[in-house]
Parts: sequence; C-alpha cells; structure tokens
Amino acid sequence: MEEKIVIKNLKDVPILSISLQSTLWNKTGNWRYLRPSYLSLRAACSQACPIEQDIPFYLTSLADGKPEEAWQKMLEANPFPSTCGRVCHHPCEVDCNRKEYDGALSINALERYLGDWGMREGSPVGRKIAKRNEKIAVIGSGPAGLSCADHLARKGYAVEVYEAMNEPGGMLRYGIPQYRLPKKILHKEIERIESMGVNIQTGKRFGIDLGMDDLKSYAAVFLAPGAHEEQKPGIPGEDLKGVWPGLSFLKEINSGKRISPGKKVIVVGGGNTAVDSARVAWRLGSKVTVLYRRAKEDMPAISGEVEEAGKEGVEFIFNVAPVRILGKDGRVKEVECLRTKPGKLDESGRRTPMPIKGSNFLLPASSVILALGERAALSFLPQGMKTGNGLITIDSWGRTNLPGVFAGGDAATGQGYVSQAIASGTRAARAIDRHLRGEIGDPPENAQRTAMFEKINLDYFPPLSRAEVPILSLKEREKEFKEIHGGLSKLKAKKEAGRCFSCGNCIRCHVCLMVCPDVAISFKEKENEYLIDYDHCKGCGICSVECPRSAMTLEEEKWSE
Amino acid sequence: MERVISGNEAVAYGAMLSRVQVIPAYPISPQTTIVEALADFCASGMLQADFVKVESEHSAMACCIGAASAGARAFTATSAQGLALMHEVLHWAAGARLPIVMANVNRAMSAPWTMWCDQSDSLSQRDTGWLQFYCEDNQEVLDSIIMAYRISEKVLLPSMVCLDGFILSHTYEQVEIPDVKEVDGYLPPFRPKFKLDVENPHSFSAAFLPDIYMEQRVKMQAAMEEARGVAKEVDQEFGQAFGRSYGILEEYWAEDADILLVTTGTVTGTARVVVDEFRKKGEKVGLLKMKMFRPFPMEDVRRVLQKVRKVAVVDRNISFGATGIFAQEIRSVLHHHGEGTSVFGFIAGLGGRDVTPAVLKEIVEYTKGREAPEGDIAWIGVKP
Repeated sequence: MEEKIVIKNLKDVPILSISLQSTLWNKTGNWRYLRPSYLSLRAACSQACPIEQDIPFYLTSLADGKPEEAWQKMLEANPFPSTCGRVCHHPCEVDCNRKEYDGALSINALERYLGDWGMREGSPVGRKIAKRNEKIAVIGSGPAGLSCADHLARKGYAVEVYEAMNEPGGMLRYGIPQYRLPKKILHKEIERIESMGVNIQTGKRFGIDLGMDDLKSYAAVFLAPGAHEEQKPGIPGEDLKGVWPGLSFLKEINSGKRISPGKKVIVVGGGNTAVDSARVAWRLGSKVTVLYRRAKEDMPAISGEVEEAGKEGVEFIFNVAPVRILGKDGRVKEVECLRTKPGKLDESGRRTPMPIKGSNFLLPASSVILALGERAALSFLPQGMKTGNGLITIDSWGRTNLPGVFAGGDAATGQGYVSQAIASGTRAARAIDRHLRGEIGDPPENAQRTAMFEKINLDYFPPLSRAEVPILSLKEREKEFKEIHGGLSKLKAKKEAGRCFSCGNCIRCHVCLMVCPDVAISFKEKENEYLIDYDHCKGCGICSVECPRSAMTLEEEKWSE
Repeated sequence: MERVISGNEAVAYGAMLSRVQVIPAYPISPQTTIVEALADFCASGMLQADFVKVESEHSAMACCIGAASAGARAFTATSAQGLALMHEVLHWAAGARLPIVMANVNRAMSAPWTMWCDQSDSLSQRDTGWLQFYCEDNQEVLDSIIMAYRISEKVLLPSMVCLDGFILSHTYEQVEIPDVKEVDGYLPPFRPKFKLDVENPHSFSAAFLPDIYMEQRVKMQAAMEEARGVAKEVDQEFGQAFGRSYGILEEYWAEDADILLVTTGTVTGTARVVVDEFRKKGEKVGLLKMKMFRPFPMEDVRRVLQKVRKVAVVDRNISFGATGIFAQEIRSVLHHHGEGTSVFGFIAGLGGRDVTPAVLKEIVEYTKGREAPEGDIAWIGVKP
C-alpha cells in the first residue's frame, strides 16, 4: 500500500467516496478456505447407454440450433441413430435425472429426430481415407458387425464385411418388423456406412462359403454372426404344418413373402421375437394369443411393445406352457396347455415355472409360432476357440482366446438389445485398433463419477412436460405395416432437447460468472472456457452451489505452508 | 408522432426514448402500469434493457444503485409506501452521486389505507438529496423524464419526476412522442467519470472520516445549486430541439398580480382556468407554477413574489406539526427579502379530494377578504 494520503483542500476531496488508488493490490483470494473448480461429471443417461453416448452434448447442441454438430458427434459413437431412435430399449430414459422432476427426456425420440434430420439435411460423411495398412474382416452385417466396421473405417482401416444373407443388416433387417423399423431407414444407414469405404459382401456364409483360412490376409477378424438357431420346445406336434419358429416367421415376412397364418394364431414365448411375431400376425388379420410360462413382469420383451400389443388386441395368457400340439391331416388344429406356478429363483433372478398337474386345457389354433429364443450356431467356429454357455467366450473388450480374433453381438454377449450389439462392436473396434498398434492393456474406460439428481439446481428449470411422439390409431394399424410411431416436429424436438438438464456438463450458461460477487470468474471467448481468478476468489461457493447442472465442485483449499 | 396516452405510458415512453439500460421494477398502484409498459417494450424488443423483477422497492433502488455504479442508465418508478420503503437507499443513491431517474406517481400516505392522490409521499423525501420535479400534464411528464437524465448526468445527483396519481397516471391525453433519433441527439449516452470497472477496481462508498465527510456534503450542496442553472439550460435546449419548454417555474398573469396563487402538479391546470375568469372580471389574480422543488428555486421565487402583496400557496400535502410544505419553503425564502408579502398557506386536496375551480375560487376570495393570514394554515373544503 501507498503511504497515507492527507487531503488539505476542498478541491482535493472527491465528489463521492472513491478510493484514490486502484484496489487491485488487495488479493482477497487469501481469505478462501474453499476452492471452487470446474469438474465434468457423467450424465446418468450416458452412464445407462450401452454405447456410452454423450447424450447431453447432442441435446444441448440441438437445443442451441446446431443439429449438424449434434448429428456428427452422434454418428461418431453410433452409426445407427435413426434405427436406435426407433427400436432401442432406451435405458437412458429410465435413468434420466429429469424423470424425478417432471418426466424423463424423450431421448429416444430425439435420437430418431437427429438421425432422420441427418439423413435429410446433414452433410455427407464422406469416404474415409485408409491411413492404416492393415485390413480387417468382419463376419456378419448386423448392428455389431457394422458398428465395428464403421468405427474401424473412421480410424482409417480398410474393412471387408461378409454377410450370409442376401441383404445386409442382420436382425435389424430380418428380425424387426417394418412397422417398427421401415426398411428404407435401415437401408440408408447402411448406405452411409458403405459410403465411408466399408465393403459388404452378401451371400457369403462363414463356415460354408468361406472359412478362417480364407481370412489369413486380414490383420484382425471380428466375429458377429448373431444368434439364428431357434430353440425348439421338444413337444409332440412341433413339426406339424402351420407351426413356425418365430424368427423364421419374421424372416419370411421381412423378406417380402406373403403368409396367411389363419384366423387364430398361438404365439409361445415372452421375448421380443414373440411379441413382434404376435403383432405381425395381428396385422395379417389373425386373432392372436401369446402364451408365456412366467408372469408379465418376467417378460424379456421391451415393455412398451408388450403394452401396445395388448392395445392392439393381442391376448396374453401368463403362467402357461404348451405340452402338445394337436393336428388334423398333418395341420395344426389345437394346442394343449398346462398351467404353471412360480417355483424357485433361477440364475436370472426369475422364478422357475413349475407345472400344475391336471391343469391341462385346449386352445384352438390355425398356426402356432414358437418363439423360445435363439442361440448362436457355434459349429463353424475356428478350431481352438473357447466357448461357454452357448456363446463365444470374450472379455469386456470383445477379445477371444485367439490372438487377433474378436467377437461381439448376440453370438458372444448373449444380450439381445440392438444398442448392446452396437456397443460390443464399437468396443471391439477400439480393442482391435489398440491391438494393431501394439499397445498393451485395455483401452481407457470412462472414470467420471455420475451426476446425481440431488445436485441439480431445479430453480433454473421451470417444469415442462415431456414431449410424446405421435402413434397410429388402432384403426390405422390394421392390416398395415405402416410405421407405428411418428417423429417429433422441428419445434417440438428443439423444445424437448431444451429440457435437458445437461447433468454434470458445463454448457457455458454463465450462471457462475453472473453470480460471482467478486467478479473473479471470467469467460475466455477463444478457448470457450471459464477462468477463476484465485487471487480474488474468496471461496464463498455461490458459483458451485448455484451451478444448475452440477458441473462445479467445491473442495477444501490446501494452502501450502 | 402524436398519440393519446396515459400519464404512466408517457413516463414509459420517456424512459424508453432515454434508452434506459436497467429497469428494476416492483409493482405498486398507481405506478404499476409504468413498469408494465416498460416490460412490454423490453419483451417486444423496442427497448434493449435489463428488466429486473425485484422483491421490494428497497431492492429496486438498490439495484438502480448497482446498475448506475456500473455506468448504466437506470430507471424505476414507485408510489407512496413504496417510495417510503426506499428512503434509506435514496440517501445512498444521492451520496454516491448516481444520476438515477425515478418516476413517482403521487399517492397519499397510509394509514388510513388509500390509493388516492396527494403529494405527501414525494415531499417527505425532500432531504434525501434528490432533485424533484412536478408535472402538470402528460406531455410534460414525458419530456421531463428525458430532461431529468440530462440534468442528473450533468450534476451527478438523482432525479424524481412526480405526477399526480390517477389525475395524470390513468388519464389519457394527446401527447407528442418525439422521434428517437432526435432524442438521441439531445441526450447522449451516459459516460460516467467514475464507475465500477473490474479492469481498474476502486473501492466505492467506503467510509469518509470526519476530516473530509463535510467537504463531500459541501460538494453535494454545490451540485444541487448548480442544478438550477443546468435545469434552465437543459429546458431551453429542449425547447430548441422539440419546441416545448417549461422552465423551472412558470409565471402566469403574475406581472401585475395583487393575489398570486402558487400551485404544483395538476392543480396548476385548474388554476389557469380560475385565473382567466378573474382576469375577465378585471381582478388582478395571477399564478406561479412550481415545477422544480429540489433544488428549491430560491432566487426565482423571490424575484416573482417580492413584488406581490398576497400569495396564496395551495399545498396538497401537510408537514404535521408545521404547515404545508410549499408554504413553509416560500415563507423561509421571503424572510428578510419580502417583508411586504403576506403568505397565505392553504391545504387542499389531501387523499384524493378534488381541487376544483370552486375550491381555488374560494382560496382567492378568502385571500381577497383578509389583509393578513389568520393562522399558519387555512384548511379548505373541510367538513364543519
């Protein structure tokens, strides 16, 4: 400080009380015992997403009117946004922090909106120049195989995909009915992957048309053949005419074949194949009953799909199992059923159904669809490959016991959801890249803590109801395979994206800067980041407490001696 | 552009044309429609200003102080108890030498509860260091807001522009709304010499010890005194720019008057009619309109009143235990300067009671009939 100033004349007295010298010397920061800083946390939705997508980033970009930025970032993580926006089981919405407040974000609908926006208006992804010498073979062009291929192409590898069927897409193409996922949407997404330089050869059955020996020129192989072997119940009459394995039934329909299953269809099973088959049969004009040997809450099918099936008039009978299919002249006529009751808990945490003796009853049927699950066909696997529980054995990064051979999708993970298949493909792609670069150990996992709902400052978020997508009326669904769900309008999508709390992620909202009573926070336009002036921050904590989205922390200061 | 608007809309237009930058607002009748109109201007994009909803009038003025300290042109409006709640910060705004402009829609003080007009609210803030102006009609209201910024920013003291509640605030009159570009030419942006600046931080409003506090007060008083001349200049320039001029006071048939009415606010308009009637009858009745109350235009008042025998001051207020406030001020100004002038102090129109031509005629007749005031106060129109 300067020495004391003595004022002797009236003219030297300032008109108002103002220090004559700058007060910059006064480093009030040394009063601080708490230190605020910026720390990004992981949003609960990202945590729940098998693909670990940076959902708050897309949503805030979209809300900011930057769909291109959102879409490009989305594609980097997931090559199937339009597909996932229609068929994903969206665990993101289950964990969304906003559900504790006024309803989870419609993340799934927004993913679809962005994916479809990109198809119409996004700039082309363009051919990726192969920067790497290594070539990689991918077996199977389902969501796992193509996601792995997409990621590898983005990393600069040349990728060759071999597909057994005539069209690419795997279960997306052959397993999921049109009314949930129109073929042209899938086609466009696959086209985009091909446009990056990924080559897909169809009609090439691994183990029949080509074997492991034919892949020697490839530096790595990713196996994603899927699960196509359908389980049979092993009951009398299962080979009668009019009895269909569920997946085969869906494949026929999805290949454009005309099938009329008759007036009364019995579907057996509780998974997505069963529910899809039931709703397809209903659309073909049949009256449909689904038999499931456990309770409704045990069904592995997506709950929303089960609900809509019920609305359409599909009848569900729970705790019942078929014991015999009866026919007349070699054709199905009736199904004999037996009631069950829940028994002991099994490995999956569900109760094993126990038959109730003497509870037999008959149901008439013109067709029976058996959807008891699918398994991977493992007979064609290369010698020495480790398997277990009917699956290719892999670690969490898709590595098999054979060096350079990776696997994913339904044949390796045993998980049935599309997003899980995509995740297995993208994780394997990262592991393959690491392997080919000769790096040891696992690729880095996201170690961020998750932003909790309790830390969201709700004062900044006026209640807004969740946007719901339009759905066809029951009348419009009859005898039609028209897409059942509509998309969000541009206006609705932007508004819905604006509901995102962006948990744990700074969106440069400037609240910290505005509330700081010491003007100790500044924003660096060029670097797009905040700077805390610790010389003058007194550690009052207002910035961190006020932060609407828990992107700041406040920790005790460790002053050095 | 000519439009038929209320007094409160005239205030809002005045503020908008002055390009105010920060408007902290808290509602109170009969002021509320001022800040509502400003909120609409902000929402429609006509006015680029930060409209801050605050939790009390005290906060509204505190927010004005913060904004003006940072170099922004700040505006707010209030009435009656709202103004009283600001009292503490009114002193602060003046002492910190911040050129804030506030509209006060005159409303009588409670209890008993009332929303009607008198001027006790603003006049009881007379010693806070604020300039005070009283307006006669809606046009003067609009023009005075713009002029108040010019004056305040020159002398660095805040201004209160007062208008009679309901009689002006909610009454529609034809008003010429000046072109914004012309107002821009007349009222340049506010560029204060001292302002909060993070690049060059200074301590503001910290303690002044007894060795210099008094000198700061001397400078405030000097600024108040300077404001009289500044207000005259600003008014003349306004006249040159827009063709309307008001002065800091106005004489009407005052030159040869035997009896001179002294009025403020809307009573002036009524008094003009009454004076005309007396003049038609050949009686020498005149009028002095007091527009500026703080600083009190001492010299000008002396000049006009010294030569008049009887002055009838109409006070729409009362300082309990003393007299009407204008009568008090005028008597003190004439002491030793106008020994031949008798000052009759009338109190009329409290709490919304109408001051009609009949009331003013009664005042004139009362004055005519007496050589000297019978007491310090003459109540007019009080029930027997």
